[in-house]
Amino acid sequence: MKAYDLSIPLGPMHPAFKEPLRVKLKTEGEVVVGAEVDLGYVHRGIEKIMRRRPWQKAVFLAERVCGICSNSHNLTFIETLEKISDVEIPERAKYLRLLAQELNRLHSHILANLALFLAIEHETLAMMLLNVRERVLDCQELLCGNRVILSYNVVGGVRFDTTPSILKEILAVIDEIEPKLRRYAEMFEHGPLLRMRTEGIGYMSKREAELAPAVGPIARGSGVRFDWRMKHPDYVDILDFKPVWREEGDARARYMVRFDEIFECIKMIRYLCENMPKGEIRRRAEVKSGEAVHTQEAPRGDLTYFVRTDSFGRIEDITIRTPTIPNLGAFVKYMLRNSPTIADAVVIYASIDPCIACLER
Amino acid sequence: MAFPKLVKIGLRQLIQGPVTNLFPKTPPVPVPREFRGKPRYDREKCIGCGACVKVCPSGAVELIEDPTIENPKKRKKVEFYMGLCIFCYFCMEACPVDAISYGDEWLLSSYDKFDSKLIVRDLPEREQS
Repeated sequence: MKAYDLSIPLGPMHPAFKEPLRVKLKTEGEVVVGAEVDLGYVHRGIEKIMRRRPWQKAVFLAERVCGICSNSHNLTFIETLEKISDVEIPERAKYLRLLAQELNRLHSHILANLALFLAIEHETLAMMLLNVRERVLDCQELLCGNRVILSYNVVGGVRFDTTPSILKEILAVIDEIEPKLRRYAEMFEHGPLLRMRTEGIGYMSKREAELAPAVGPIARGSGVRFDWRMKHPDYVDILDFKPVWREEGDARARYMVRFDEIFECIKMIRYLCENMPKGEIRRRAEVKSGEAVHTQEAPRGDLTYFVRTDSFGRIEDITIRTPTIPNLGAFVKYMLRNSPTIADAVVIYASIDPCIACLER
Repeated sequence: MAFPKLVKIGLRQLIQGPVTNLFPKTPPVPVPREFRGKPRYDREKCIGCGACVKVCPSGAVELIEDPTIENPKKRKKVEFYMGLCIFCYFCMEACPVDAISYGDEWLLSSYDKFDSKLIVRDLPEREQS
């Protein structure tokens, strides 16, 4: 065990943290040499509540695991059930699902970067991003009827249909926010103050990212060229998806990967809106008994659901593995070694985009 | 290079008012067509089958007997408790006679979860008269 001078707690209530979590930093003078993480402030026992309930009721609990990436949880849960019962969904439903998922990812990435800039006290830039995010939430409201908790996917398709006029409105919003986001991305890439706070801070090499194993944009910021969307048949067939990555591996690379993905999302949303096929949106489907594991790329990384159902469509057993679990491990083990001061530890923490509500369920 | 742009943006910020709406003073922006607000429940259409009670994930719908209706076979109706509702609209999908439809009312704050204004018993226009 390493010797250290002082243990400094970050949290559970901290101005830079969106959600409660305690990180005990072990310090030698100003240098951070290690950390411990204390969990258990927002545990709700969602997996336990889901058991013995029909899937129609469990699906609404699944999307309440996380308020930011709610659609990812909904989609992964529904796709797991579809894997169990061999359900094929109509073509239009596939497009609509991808559209809702990419809108969700867009707003989640904007929010993640916003939290980082709020943590390093760049409030003007953070508020600029918040303005853009509000427009994306408007798009979600147009498409699904709600702003945050979408309740959009269902076994056999999607629940609400859309019209060409709504798609046109979404395209107009995308056209409006894209030049703004390009301007902000340029600011964030070249801004001298931002570079001072984030360049070379929290470095993690590609090998360490694979060992940890970090997932999602955090791993792709260290040069790992993997995205679960590459394995998803809809993304491959419809969108011909290619992942984006950066080699630097520091906090700046992580937020710039998110910006790169934002532009990829915008490209995909534009394609989906322009080439939306006509037809039915939902097919009659029955959930059979069985078990399956399914992984999907949530905005923060791999989201895995294990579900076992009985013959009445009730959930016998369920386990959720959220992306923040491995990312927080990578944060403690590898990233904090390159934290020259205690203030930088906060930046690194915000750069992994943690979602504690997801993590503790 | 950036200085003229900065002056331009600064002057514009001085002239234009606040971006946000001053909520109680100005009327709020209209909600989209399929906005999921307080549901509209048509009591006369309802046949009291109880499908919405069965599917509701949060138990916000209750089956009741209305003693004011003369025919004892048609006395079964439902009530929606908005304090418990999660706005999933599964009840609308389950309803066989389309007695439930999208509503656009969103101002649902109250000190009491079971306040009478948070209980939907009929269409709002019919309830007022």
